[in-house]
This record gives sequence, C-alpha cells and structure tokens, in this order.
Amino acid sequence: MEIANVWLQSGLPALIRGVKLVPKQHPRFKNLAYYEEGKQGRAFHLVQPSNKREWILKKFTSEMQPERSYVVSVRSLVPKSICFQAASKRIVLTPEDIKPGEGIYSSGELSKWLDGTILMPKMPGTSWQNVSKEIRSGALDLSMSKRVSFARSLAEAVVEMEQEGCAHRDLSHESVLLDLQENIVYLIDWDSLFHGTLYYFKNTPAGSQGYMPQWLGDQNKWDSRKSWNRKGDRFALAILISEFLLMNQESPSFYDGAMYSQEMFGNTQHPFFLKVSESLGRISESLHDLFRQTWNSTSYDDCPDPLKWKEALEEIKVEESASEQGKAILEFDEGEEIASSESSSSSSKAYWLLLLLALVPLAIWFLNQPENQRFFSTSSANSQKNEPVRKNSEPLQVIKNEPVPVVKNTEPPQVLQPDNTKTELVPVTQVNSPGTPSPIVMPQKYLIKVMYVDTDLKMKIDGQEILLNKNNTAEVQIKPGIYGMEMTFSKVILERETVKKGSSVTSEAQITFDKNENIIIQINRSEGTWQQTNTP
Amino acid sequence: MATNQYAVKILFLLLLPFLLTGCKSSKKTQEQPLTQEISTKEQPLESIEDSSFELEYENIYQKAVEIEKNYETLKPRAEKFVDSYFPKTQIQKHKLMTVALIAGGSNYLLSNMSNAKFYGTKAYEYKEDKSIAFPVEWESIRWRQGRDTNILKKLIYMKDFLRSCSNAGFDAFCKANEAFFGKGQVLDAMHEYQNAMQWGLEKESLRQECYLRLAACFYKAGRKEECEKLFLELLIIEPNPNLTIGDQETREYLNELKEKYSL
Repeated sequence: MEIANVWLQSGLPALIRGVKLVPKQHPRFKNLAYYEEGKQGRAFHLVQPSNKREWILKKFTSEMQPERSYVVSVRSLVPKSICFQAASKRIVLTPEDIKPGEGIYSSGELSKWLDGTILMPKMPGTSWQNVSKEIRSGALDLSMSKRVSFARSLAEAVVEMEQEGCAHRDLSHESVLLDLQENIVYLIDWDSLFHGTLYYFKNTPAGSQGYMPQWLGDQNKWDSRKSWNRKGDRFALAILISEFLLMNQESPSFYDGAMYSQEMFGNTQHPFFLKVSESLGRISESLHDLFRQTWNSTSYDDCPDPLKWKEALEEIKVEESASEQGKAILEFDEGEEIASSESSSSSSKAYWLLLLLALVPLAIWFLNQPENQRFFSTSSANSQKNEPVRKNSEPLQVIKNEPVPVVKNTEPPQVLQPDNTKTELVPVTQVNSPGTPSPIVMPQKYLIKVMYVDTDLKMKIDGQEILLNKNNTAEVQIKPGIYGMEMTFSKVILERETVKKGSSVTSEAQITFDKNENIIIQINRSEGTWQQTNTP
Repeated sequence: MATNQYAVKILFLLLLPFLLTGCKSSKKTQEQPLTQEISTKEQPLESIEDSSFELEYENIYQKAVEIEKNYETLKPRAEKFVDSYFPKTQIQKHKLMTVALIAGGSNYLLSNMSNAKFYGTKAYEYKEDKSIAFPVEWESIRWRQGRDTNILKKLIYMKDFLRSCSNAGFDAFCKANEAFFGKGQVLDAMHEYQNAMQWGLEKESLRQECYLRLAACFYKAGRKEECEKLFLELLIIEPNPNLTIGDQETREYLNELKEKYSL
C-alpha cells in the first residue's frame, strides 16, 4: 500500500521537523491520500492539524529524481520576492527529519519514503489551468484590469529571475498560481531551474506542452539542453501573457487547458496566431509587436526581453487598475521557521552556554556568602551524593523511618486517581550505604499506561496494590528508582482466528522510575509475561 | 385579398436573399471568437476518452449516492463501465474499484447474487494492494438520515456482502488479534483490522468480530466518529453483540452506543 495512505489511515500526525502533519484525504475517496500527479512526481497535500495550515510534499518518481545537491540548491538561487516563495521556503527532507513520539505516526518505511521529498507551504491562489477552466465554462469573468495585473506580475517575476541569472524553465498553466485577491502570481514546480552554478541533468524536463517553442523539438523528442539557459522562460512568458489577456469561453483547449497546441508554434501564418496578434493589437500595439516577435523567433535570443513586456503592460491603462493593484501582505510563515530551525537551534545552544557561563560564578559567589550558607548547608551536602537508584541485592528499608530534611510534606507519596478523589499509599523505599549521609530523592509523578485490553488487570508495586483507571492507566507519585512490580492478568490462547481467554497469571518483574514520566507496560498475554517499554 | 397575399409572398421571396446576405455581412463586423475554427480540431484522442470516462464515472457515482432508489438503472451502466475501461492511473483504478462495488451492490439489491459476487470480487482486483473502499456517501450514519430502518438494513447488509467477496483480509485479521489481545498494541491492531476489512473476510462470524474489535480500536485511538459509524453497522447486522472486549472504558462507550442506536 502507498505509504501516504498508511499514514493517512493511521489517523496520526507525523512529526516532521517539529511540525505535526497529516496527509489530506482525497475529497472524494476515503482512505486515499490526496495528491496531484505531475511530470516529475506527486504533490501530496498535507495539513497541520493545530492551525489547519496546508503544506505540499513533493515526492519525485525514481526516474525523475534530480540529484540531492540540485534540489537543495534551488532554495538559495531564486530571487527573494513573494512570487518565489514556493522555492525560497522549501525544505528537502532526510530520514532524520521525522521523529517518533507518543501519538505520532512514524515508521522506518515512512522515513525512507520521505527521504529526498520536498516540503513546502502551500501557496495561495489557484493554478492558471483551473482559472482558465472556469473562464472557459463561464463560471468566472476575469476583468481586464486583473488580467493585466497578472500578466505584469508574471513579467516582473521573469525579469527578476533573469537578473538573478536563473530561469524556471517550466512556466505553464500548471506552474503559475493566480492569487485572485491580491492580483499577483506565485510560481511553483521549481525542479527544472536553470542557474549558472547548477549542473544540467538529463532527466530535467524541457518544459510543458503548449508552452515550449518549436526549436526544442517535437512530440517525439524534446531537447531539454536547449532550454537550459537564462532566457529559457521568454517564450512561455509571451504565451502565458497572451493567455491571461485573451482567454475566453471560446478559447480552444489543448493538453488539458493550454490555449495553443505545439503544432501551431513556428507557423507564422496560422489563423489562430493571426487572431491572437490582432486581439492583442486592440489592447496595445506594443503587445502585438512583442507577441509577433516571439512567434517569429527561432531561438530564445530572438525572443523579446521580459523587461519590454513589463514596460508594455505598465503602459496599459485600465479603469480599475489602481484599486485592484495587489499588495501582498505576508503572514508569519512556518516554512521559514522550520527551514531555519537548524541554524536557530545552534544559535540557541550558544545562548544557553553563555548564560550558564555567566550564572555559574554568580551562583558560587552567592553560595559562599556567610548569610546564605546556613540556608543551603544541608542541601548542598546532600546534593553531592545523589543516588536515586537502589540496588536490589541490598536489604530494603522504608524511608518513613529516616529523617528527610527538605521535604516539608510528611505525608507518604500518593497514588493519584484519575478523578483525584481516591488516593492510595505507596511506601517509598531506598537503600543507604552505612555511614554515608542520606541522599535526598524527591517523589515524582509518573503515569503508568498498561497496554492491556481487558478488565481483569491488577498491579502491585513493592507489594502495594495500585488501583487502575478504567483505561488501565495509573498515576503514581513515587521516588525515582527500581521497584518490584507484580501484574496479574488473564492469558489468551490464540489459534489463527480464534481467541480464547485462558487462566489468570501473576508475573513479577522490575520497573524503573527515572526521568521519563510516562511509563508504558507491554503485556504479552500469550506468554504470560510483561515488560516496561516506555514507547507506545 | 388573394392577390394582395400573393404580392406580399413574392415581395418576401425577393427580399429573402438580401436579408440573408445582410445578416452574414453584419456578423463579419462583430468580434470573432478567438478560435472558432480550431476549438474542435485538435483535441487529442486520449483526452476525449478520458473525458467520457470521467463523465460516466460522475454520473454513476452520483446515482449510487441513492443506490437504494437507482439500483435498477445503475446495474447495466456500472457493469458496462467496468467491462469497458482499463485503468491507467491510480485514481482510475480507484474509480473502477468504486464502480465495481456499485455494480456488485446493485446486483445484490436485485437479488442477482452470482453477478453481485462477480462484481464484488472484481472490485478487489483493481488496486495494487487489492483493497476496497466504499464511497463516503455510503457511511452508515449518512444512510441513517432520511431512510427507514428496512432500507438502512438492506444497505448495510449490501456493504457487508461486498466485504465478504474476498478473503484476503484473513491473515491481517489473525495478526490484528495477536496485536490486540496478545500484546494490547491497539494502533497496530487497528491498522491490521482495517486491512482485514478492506481486503475482505468471507466468514460472517469473523467479520462481526472484526467490526467490533476495529470499533474498539478506533475508540482507543481517539477516533470516536469512525468507531460510531462502524459500530452502527455491526448493530444493524447483529443487534446484540458480545461487548466483552476492551478495557472498562471501551466497554462502557460501546454500551452507550448500543443504547443510542437500539433499533
């Protein structure tokens, strides 16, 4: 079964880089993780249950997986403005990024599966493919001012990329998202990126059908090396701008939503091209000229500079444009937080170290003051010899017979009931070597959870019966150490599909109360044994 | 009068060509849609096939939401769909699995048991892991709304029948028992019982045990909603299940549900 489906069906979140995430269920199909299929792999939709924030997890197919160094570099090579956030906020996961825990889904398979995947925050907006479908169906009427704004936003993005020496190389109706509120575009699918510092890899896509110039080849073979350059977005930019400005209910649809078919490109007499040119000419003469220049090009160098597109679009005066011009307001992004967690954790370590260095001499000075010494004399003596764990070979003594200098509450430690109404006493024991001062061990609260699905469980710690909750858990307050524990439960006889309840059995073993406040006891009812695991 | 009528007719016939020419020429001045000619020309064959697949699937699925009303018309359509298409993608496999379940369910409601078994069994074959998943609209709690008890029973029995069309979940059921009873590992048991339900269990008594134990696991895992849905299905099939499984808390919750849904 697909790992994502197993993860979804577990009903538990996975802890990835400190964030709890669950796969989003397919809107129509139960138990099927929701993903979108792309050229390079699948984009799974994840949700952060605490705040409903959506994330995308991109899983490459084995044939299309670029080298790790390439995928990791993308983040640092794209420009920093808002429309590049899908690249600048992404993280490439490693198996170490997933952590186990109680109530957390984790498995070796999931860690392996997540290795090399890309986690990124879901960008706002809808793909141009979906927007254009709505326009074609008549469900959406996009105003000219919005169309111009989107075209301008895209042109600006390509200008910025060229200035940074990079190209997206796969601009298409699928990789451009339109934020209809803010009137800006977001670019996604960054794993074909060109940059002078990156090496060409042969499984890189050449582009998408309906947006690739004729000089890249044809249906039989696309030559991705030809689009491996800084100007590799110029042709698709012109095509997308014409789509943004002219898409209507009559527009044709190729490759699931593109306005042009590959066969049209390069044909300067194609009737559709003539119509598009004419329609663009009605909006602006410059647009008409730039589009014609693109259409007649035979290489990326011949295509117009994106700056010219930007200027031509800025000249267009549309009535509502002033009010509709988008100013994106960025809210706090946890993608950034996660991505920078490594650097922040190292800086926080340095901070604590400095704080410790400053506080230790201060504390020594404070303790050496004569007026303070009397307050701390007993505890400081004891704190040097803190031995919380007793050795079972030595005789047991009950602590109530010994003086305990610090603990004011002289009542014995309690076993807390879930409703905090009933209590049970547990004697706290410890072993002291003759002649040494008594070490002080404070009782602590522990939650004991027994993995047992029946109602006949009984538990004793050092001979004292512990009352269990209805869900076979108990909260106890006890001093850290090793104790003898007795469990009484019924065995089961499992024979393939049949389950028979067997005789009652009492099994004794040791239980360790240490720093971990959650103690998990696993009972093997077939064998009549139990063990402390402390992991669910 | 008659001559006047003739004159009008002749005049109309003479004017007709001019009127038609006029209309055509006026159309030329209007803005042409960008791609009138091309729009129907170069549609790739594959996408036409895919769109008919999608369209028919949507129709069948929508009708199957009320399968108790539409089973007679659904039967031939769903059977034809299953017999005509070969799935290419994971989503298509899922869709064909769903339609095979609909075909099996329609036959079950028509008491055509051999066909019901045939399509029910076929449903398990589509997905790589040989699992089935019912449409979300077939959840017991949704079915309970606005339907009388007899229809609800019939629908739940239909689902139970479809779960019996394969026995590939038997091993998962045994593993689940070991995890649940043997080791008290509820999450592992839940996963295996879910597998057992999705891969099918032929024996009726085991299915009923599976419903109950999975419901208990769902409860322990904090998935109360799913526990309730499944337990309701069990109560319809077996109104007096033996509720001596799980810890005290689970038993009390299941008893509460039993009281809530006593039919």
